[in-house]
Amino acid sequence: MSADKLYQAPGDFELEVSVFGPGYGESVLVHLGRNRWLIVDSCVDPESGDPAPLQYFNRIGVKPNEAVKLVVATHWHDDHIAGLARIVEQCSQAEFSCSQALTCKEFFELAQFSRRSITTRPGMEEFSKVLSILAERKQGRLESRGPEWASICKVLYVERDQQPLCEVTSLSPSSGQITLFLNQIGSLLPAKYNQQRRLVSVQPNHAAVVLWVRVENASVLLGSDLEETPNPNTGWSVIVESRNRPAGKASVFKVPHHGSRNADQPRVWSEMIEDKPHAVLTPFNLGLTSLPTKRDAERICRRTENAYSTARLPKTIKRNPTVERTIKEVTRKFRTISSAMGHVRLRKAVDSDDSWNVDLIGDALPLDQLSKLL
Amino acid sequence: MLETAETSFAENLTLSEKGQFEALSETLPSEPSGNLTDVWVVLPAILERADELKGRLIDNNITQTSGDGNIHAQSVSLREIELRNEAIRRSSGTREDKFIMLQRWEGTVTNVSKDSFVARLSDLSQENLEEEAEIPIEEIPEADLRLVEPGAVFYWCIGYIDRVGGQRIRASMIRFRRLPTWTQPAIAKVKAEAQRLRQILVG
Repeated sequence: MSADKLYQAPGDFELEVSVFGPGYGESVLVHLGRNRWLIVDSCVDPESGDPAPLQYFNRIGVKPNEAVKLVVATHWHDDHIAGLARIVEQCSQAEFSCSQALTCKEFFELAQFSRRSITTRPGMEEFSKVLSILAERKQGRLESRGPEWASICKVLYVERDQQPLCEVTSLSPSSGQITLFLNQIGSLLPAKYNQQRRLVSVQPNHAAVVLWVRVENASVLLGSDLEETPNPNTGWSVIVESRNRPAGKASVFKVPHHGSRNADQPRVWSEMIEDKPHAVLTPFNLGLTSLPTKRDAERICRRTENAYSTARLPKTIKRNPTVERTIKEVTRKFRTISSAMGHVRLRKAVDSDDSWNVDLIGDALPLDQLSKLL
Repeated sequence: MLETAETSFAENLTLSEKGQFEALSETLPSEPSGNLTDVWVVLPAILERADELKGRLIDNNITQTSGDGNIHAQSVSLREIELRNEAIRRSSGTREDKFIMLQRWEGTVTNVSKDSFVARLSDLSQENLEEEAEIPIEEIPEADLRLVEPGAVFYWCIGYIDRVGGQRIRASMIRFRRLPTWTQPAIAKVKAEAQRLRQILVG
């Protein structure tokens, strides 16, 4: 496809789901029709340093300060919020939503500790900036409601008057998940005389916001990083079991937690998702195990032939031979985390039975091809 | 120990000398390929330079030993010291070891096990390049072992040391940052600002 056609904005009655991922980081855009956009999480293009959503909007001629209606931060881990403050700043008319678990005083304190620490780097500091922007906005604008605190089966955005009709609903966190999060976060707060340290993301992620997006008769399930747990009051089980969740099945699934086994709940596939959906995941190249593993990729490919990854394996950087020799001698393992940015874009006409058109942009590729490389 | 030596030397200087000492410290060459950002790089260099300064003050007969046994320099202008240092350097051909930096990362520890740790590395010569390494604990100097915990920050440099005697040694140096601790007033400020924001956004 030519660059001109590739970077045309969707039509008023054309749905779009765009998933960006550079191998470490994730962001999802959804076009809700009539130039109304939803942004979910943020990641940065390693080449340009710009937030992927804003870079894409710039290319397709969308003005974020007018078009974006809702920005959702599904959780606070730095691979989901890099560049988020710039997005919130530019999307000046959008409401902001994040997990209700983050209303606790411990989280606000953690955000401030990160901001004031001399070791700060993008991550929780980004969230701290977002909170400051929202507070200023709320003080300055009477009509600003402040953040929408997402919880199980809560409607975050709705358009009931003008077609295409749409609704964005959070499916998590449940009260059980909020309790687990509160237990987890207290241990991260520094005490008097503790040396300043950087905040390291804790796993598993209990507070992640899962979203159900419906536009007319099409539904999309965005799984964030939510992992399954043995506790039926947390994880995916509580969502599947919920009687108040929106009806219907999704035709697009953003696979949770980079396709990991820990986030897999077969009932999600059988009860919440159509047969042979379009499934997209973003790889995660950090930690002792990269995700998805080969088995994860094969498992997902067995469930649908329409599975895609936003990024390939990271490329090895070539350095001075002396440096490379020393790295080999000093370390047990050494690898690159960042990959080039990839973008999986799905489009289809509203209320159409046609399948989704798929564009694989940048380093995005079918998941079965990635599986062969793993 | 290094801090103590530096402090006691500085305490024995008069005010004028302290200013000169500090000014000289600021003119110290930084790491050959980088900025002076780390105490661990600065302190040894300051101490060497301090000894050198002390030595030159004595050598140039501009000191007197007081009754308390401490060495006090007469008031000497900084410019005079610089000129005398330069003259001594040229006449003696004094050289110093040089470090040639080939690669430098800033690392954050993400996981610690019994004999190794995992860290996320930012390449300081290339923007947006993130890497990850598992490093054996034995690569860490003993003085830094207590600092190895999740969230700790360190610098890792690879390069060559060219010794004054002509040897070239390949070096890998990992040094953890000695970061400030959280004081009660700082914690109170954090909590106050957190409370203010929470009051606005949550109610």
